Amino acid sequence: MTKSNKILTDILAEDRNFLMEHESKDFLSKYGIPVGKYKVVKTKSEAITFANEIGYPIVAKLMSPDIIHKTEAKVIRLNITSDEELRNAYDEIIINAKKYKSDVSIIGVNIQKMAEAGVAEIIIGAVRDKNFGPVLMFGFGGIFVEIFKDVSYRVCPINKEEARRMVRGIKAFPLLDGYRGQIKGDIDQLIGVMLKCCKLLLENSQIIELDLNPVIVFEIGKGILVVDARIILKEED
Amino acid sequence: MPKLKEFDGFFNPKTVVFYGASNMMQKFGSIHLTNLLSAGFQGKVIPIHPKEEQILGFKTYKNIKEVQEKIDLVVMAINPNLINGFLEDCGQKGINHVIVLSGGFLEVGNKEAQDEMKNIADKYNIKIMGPNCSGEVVTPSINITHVPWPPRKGGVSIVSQSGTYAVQPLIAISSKIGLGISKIISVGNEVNTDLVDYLEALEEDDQTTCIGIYFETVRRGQDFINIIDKINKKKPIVIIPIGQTEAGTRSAKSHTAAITSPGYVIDSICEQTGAIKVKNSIDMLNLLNAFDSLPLPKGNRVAILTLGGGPGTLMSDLFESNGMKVPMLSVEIQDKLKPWMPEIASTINPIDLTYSDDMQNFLNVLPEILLKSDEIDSLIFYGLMGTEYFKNLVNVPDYMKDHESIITMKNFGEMMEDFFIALFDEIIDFKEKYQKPIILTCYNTREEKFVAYLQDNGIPVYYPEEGVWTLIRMWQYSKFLLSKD
Repeated sequence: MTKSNKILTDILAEDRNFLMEHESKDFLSKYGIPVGKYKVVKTKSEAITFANEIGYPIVAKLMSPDIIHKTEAKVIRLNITSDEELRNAYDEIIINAKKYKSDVSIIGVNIQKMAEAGVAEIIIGAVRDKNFGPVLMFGFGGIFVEIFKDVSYRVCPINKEEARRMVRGIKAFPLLDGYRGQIKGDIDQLIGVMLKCCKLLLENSQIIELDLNPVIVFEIGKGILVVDARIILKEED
Repeated sequence: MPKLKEFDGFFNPKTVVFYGASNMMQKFGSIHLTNLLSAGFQGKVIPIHPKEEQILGFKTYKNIKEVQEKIDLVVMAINPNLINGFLEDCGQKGINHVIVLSGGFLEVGNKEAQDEMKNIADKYNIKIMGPNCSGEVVTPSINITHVPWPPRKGGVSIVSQSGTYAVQPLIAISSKIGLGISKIISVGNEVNTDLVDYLEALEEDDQTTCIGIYFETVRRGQDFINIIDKINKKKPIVIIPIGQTEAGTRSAKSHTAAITSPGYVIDSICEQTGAIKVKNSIDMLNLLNAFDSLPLPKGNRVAILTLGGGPGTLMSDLFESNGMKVPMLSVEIQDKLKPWMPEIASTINPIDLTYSDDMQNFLNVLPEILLKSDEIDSLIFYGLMGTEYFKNLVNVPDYMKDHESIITMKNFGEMMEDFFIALFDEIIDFKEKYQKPIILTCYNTREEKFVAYLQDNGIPVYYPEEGVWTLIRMWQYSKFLLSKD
């Protein structure tokens, strides 16, 4: 069993079938997938110290094994610009968590930098098919995936060429590629991350679902950034 | 060992033993034995039966262990409860290939019986096709299915998880399109040989030029993708995945215990490997027949030569909305066509003769001008003058029957068939000479002698839309190959 695999087995042993955001990001960074700087803090003052270290604006989110959908539970606050705002946000998040579930288990509050706008916000996802194994998904976020279903799929493993065809395979591809004189996105870095996701999925059979959403693609040479991540597990047979 | 050699007992048996044949012709085993012999099988058949001394004139044994000859293949069509016991006998006798037609195993939840079958087979190194399958066809002379069908030998092979789809469409469609078969394999529950194994064998098989796969579930997903990827670079693969909706999934589960994959997964496998997905068995057989008999198109430009405006327009729309071109022909080519065409006809493309009774122009002169030019990559015809009209003259009212015009023309239908066949020989030659695909579309059927003649000589004859889709998908495959060069 690989070291990363043991992390997943331990989580399953806790009777939990998903990784919290910070765990997901820890896991992704083992595979060299860029997740940005973040820290799970236990107190308000710790939060303020870290916020000042990385600089405002920041995002604060509650980390709890009881909460998988943070927006639904109102335990996420975006674009916090000062110490005072952060203090208020911190209290609010804790209160909302307790409203959501009175005996909620709280690991801490995850502080990360508010991501800058990039060329595009995309999704990298995956499910595990019973016949063919991990199937990688790529598409633009928001309405592109929800309404237009403008996504492409490939069964892992894939090579660089296939990943490139996958990126080019969606209708919205020109928006990443400098449509009407706009800035071009860092497609090479994007492809690199997609290949790393494949590797991660092939090496960890307990993962049945992966959802990197949103992922910001910056201009060429500036890479990409996974802003939020969810990993779902299944019990080993 | 090469896979094809490993399966020699299935594909090249000299002596075949039957469990389940009897003197009652309607018994499943009797049907299979009879179909094998009527297909022209030259080897030996030996029935096993607990009571009979002879079956259909063949000497019968009570137990397979009494048989002295070397046995290459055993076929079982008996009560499923008896099979594992007989399989044990086969193992002790040193038999390596068994087709189990009977159902009653995993597909009805009887996992125990199927596991036991696998254990016995693995212990004695027996390869089993099935259980719960419809057998096999290996042209020219092996037909171990319940369908009494003498197939034309050709290069199309089919591997199917559905027994029905392995054999039934072939009777209907081969008699419509004159399909040439190499091998048909019905894999059933895949107890110890599966889709992937047979695909590996067909990859090595020189007789197979293209492969159709009908599947619900893939027990070795990654191996399946790898073998498809490997074969498809040399021999086109056409697939029909099934069980893609909730009801379809339910149905698949109940008849082969299959777990299906959603459509987007299958689509992505096709994207990755270049396999062509079709939605129905008619499209599949039309396409395989074309792959087996025509050269691949080298580009996407089609010439349409038609005896009617409607089909010409519809075909143009279908081609152009699916990645192909019906290009305007150059003035030079149009000038070459004009002298051979009616005054009012269009030479632009579609080349529409409106009506012409000069079949030599339509079938020989004009096609050759088009095929010779470097402006088009394939040719599709619409329209054939049938002979029904002349043959139908026998049905005119009595008071017309003695008219001399009718008497003269009554026998013309048959003469006409022979005349057309001479014209078609040219078209058959053009295909080789110019190495471009040629498809003829019309609403005539094989009841017209010349339709059968064309089809049996490797010029597909389809309905117009079927012909168009066939060319579109051939180009899809060609384009995939070109992108990998």
